Amino acid sequence: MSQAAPTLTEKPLVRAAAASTTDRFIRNTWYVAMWSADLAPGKMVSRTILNEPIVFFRKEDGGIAAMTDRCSHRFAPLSMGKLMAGDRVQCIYHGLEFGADGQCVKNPHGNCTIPAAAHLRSYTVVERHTLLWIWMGDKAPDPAKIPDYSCLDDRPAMHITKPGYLTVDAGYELVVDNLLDLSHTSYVHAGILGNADTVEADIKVEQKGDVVAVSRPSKNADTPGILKMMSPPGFERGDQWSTISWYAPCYMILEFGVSKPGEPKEKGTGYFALHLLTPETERTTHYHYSAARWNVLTEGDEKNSAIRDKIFEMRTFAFAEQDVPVIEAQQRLMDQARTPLSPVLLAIDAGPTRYRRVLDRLLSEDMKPE
Amino acid sequence: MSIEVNAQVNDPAIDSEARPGAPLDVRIARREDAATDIVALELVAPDGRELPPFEAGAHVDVVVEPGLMRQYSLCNDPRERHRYRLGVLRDPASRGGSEGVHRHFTEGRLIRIGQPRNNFPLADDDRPAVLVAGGIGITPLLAMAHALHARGTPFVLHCCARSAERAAFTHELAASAFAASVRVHLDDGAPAQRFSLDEALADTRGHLYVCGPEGFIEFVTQGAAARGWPGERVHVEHFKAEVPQVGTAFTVVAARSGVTVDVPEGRSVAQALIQAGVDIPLSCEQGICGTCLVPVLEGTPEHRDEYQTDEEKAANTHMTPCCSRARSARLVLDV
Repeated sequence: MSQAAPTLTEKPLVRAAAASTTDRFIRNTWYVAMWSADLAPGKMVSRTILNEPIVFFRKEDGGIAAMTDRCSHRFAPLSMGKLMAGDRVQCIYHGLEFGADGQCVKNPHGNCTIPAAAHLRSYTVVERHTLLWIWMGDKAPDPAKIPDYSCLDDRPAMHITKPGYLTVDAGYELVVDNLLDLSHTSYVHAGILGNADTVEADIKVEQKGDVVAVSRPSKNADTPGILKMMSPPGFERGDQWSTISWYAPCYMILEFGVSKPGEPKEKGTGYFALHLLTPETERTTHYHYSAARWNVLTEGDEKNSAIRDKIFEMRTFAFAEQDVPVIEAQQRLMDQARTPLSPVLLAIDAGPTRYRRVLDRLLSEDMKPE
Repeated sequence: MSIEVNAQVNDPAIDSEARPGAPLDVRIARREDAATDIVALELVAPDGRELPPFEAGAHVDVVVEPGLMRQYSLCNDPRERHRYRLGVLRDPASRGGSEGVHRHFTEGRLIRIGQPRNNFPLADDDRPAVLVAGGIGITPLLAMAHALHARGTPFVLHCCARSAERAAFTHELAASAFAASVRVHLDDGAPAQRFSLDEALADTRGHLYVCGPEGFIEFVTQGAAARGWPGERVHVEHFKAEVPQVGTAFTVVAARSGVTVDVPEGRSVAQALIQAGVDIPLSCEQGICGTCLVPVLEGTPEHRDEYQTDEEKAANTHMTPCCSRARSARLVLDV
């Protein structure tokens, strides 16, 4: 032990969170941390993602800092502390300070030595499509792999609903199952997003690479309430277009719309329903959602703003009051079962089966070293 | 916000569809044989009251037994309010739907049905109509013929069937007020009376309504497309086979079990193997879940599942014996 003490930077960061060996999360991918609007300058926001508590704040240069929200000393949440000049966070408990990169930069106690083990893990965050995306894997983050939600950027704000956010006490896979099988709209959302006619739609599943798309067109059917609400007169019945695409591991875009019977989709109207799920834990999910109208046929800013707000209200009601109670109850019963349950699948489950197969493969690939 | 949202959902414009129609309990007032393997059922309200109105092309859900529901088209004149009439073909591969109707739906029995729903409505313009029925596909088109006749829209109803014994409702069509608009085409009849796309679809100015088995619909709609019929004036209603086990017979060898079985039309590979004592775990029984997926050692499967991707199907290394069949005369499976 005659060697000189190594400098801090040469030491391994032993407190960096290692991927849990028991969870089933793909780590080398982008997850939505929150809407951009939810992170005000000068504020810290804490959010648990993949079981890891993370504190977010905006740096003085406009970039986003994200690090483990748990002081390495006695595990107090840093988000309870103080955000200081120079992008530093001071722990509320004993005053340790951390830089935006997670490095402990101040220990006010004793001889003020900063042990290497005090450093925290930090994460890359990219702001895109009005969302904050976090990379929590060990491989190099590639912003080109952020899912394309550019429909949130390329149209007037009047046609985009405000950022929606819910938490769901159920694993994100149950929410994906819900969204990739929209036959449930005829029952859970009868009158709003579906109706008796739409249950009979023929289902077509297409898989291109790792993207799974499920289409459920209905011909000459009663138009669901939400589409009726955003259509000019003459769309009370119509051909409905419904294609939902899943992008691994937890992103979905539904193209939903109506045209007059026999007319092409281009002459119709509708919206892109955007669903972005983030696993908080194996049993809980952050649910971000929005909607962007396409081929708007209604006129007048006032009317279109009112329609936009109505879309938000109807969808929020459908998710929070109709879907979430069912999904949370499902999760409770699954947790309660003494042996693992295996669902008896139906024709409507072709899409959910495909995405789970892709997810299983991506999970095993993700666990392999580079 | 929740108050506002709830107000939205109570909006009558939206809520009008919120509650699916209440089920109806009806009595089977009359049952008659309409053709070989086809029964016609007349349903009335037990108290003799009027039934909810329906449009030509509409169907109802029928509870065949608890937990088993099937959809059947209404075939009587939509102006009638005292009865609904159904025609039900006994499907040889029935999983209990049509078989249950044929066995247990006797006169006088009370059954539960849904409110009429219409996915196959008539266009409401005055263009002439061409109605083309394949087999039991006659049922919605019969109601349409009544409706078109009543409103004075010119139409021709083509009834295609394999033979006279299998052609339903031909006697009453011949006796109807629109008998002159009906053409019956029998596969085993004289060449002159056979169905001809060229004749039936020559005039492309009207609406075309087609109902029947999948292959028949494809044949007629492709014929219409080739003759320049615009898609928006071609209307179809699919009759789904209860079990898509239509196809030729073939032989399956279960290599590990040392069992060879014949798989006839109407029976699945899994059914044939299980009956021969080979254990095939099943869950969804329709090619969705992949529980029954087995390796293929020899032969070419005809994939009818949704579990495998197109690439996996093309590789032909696995198949789902619950629903898939064979392109080759023989399949050897690693079970």
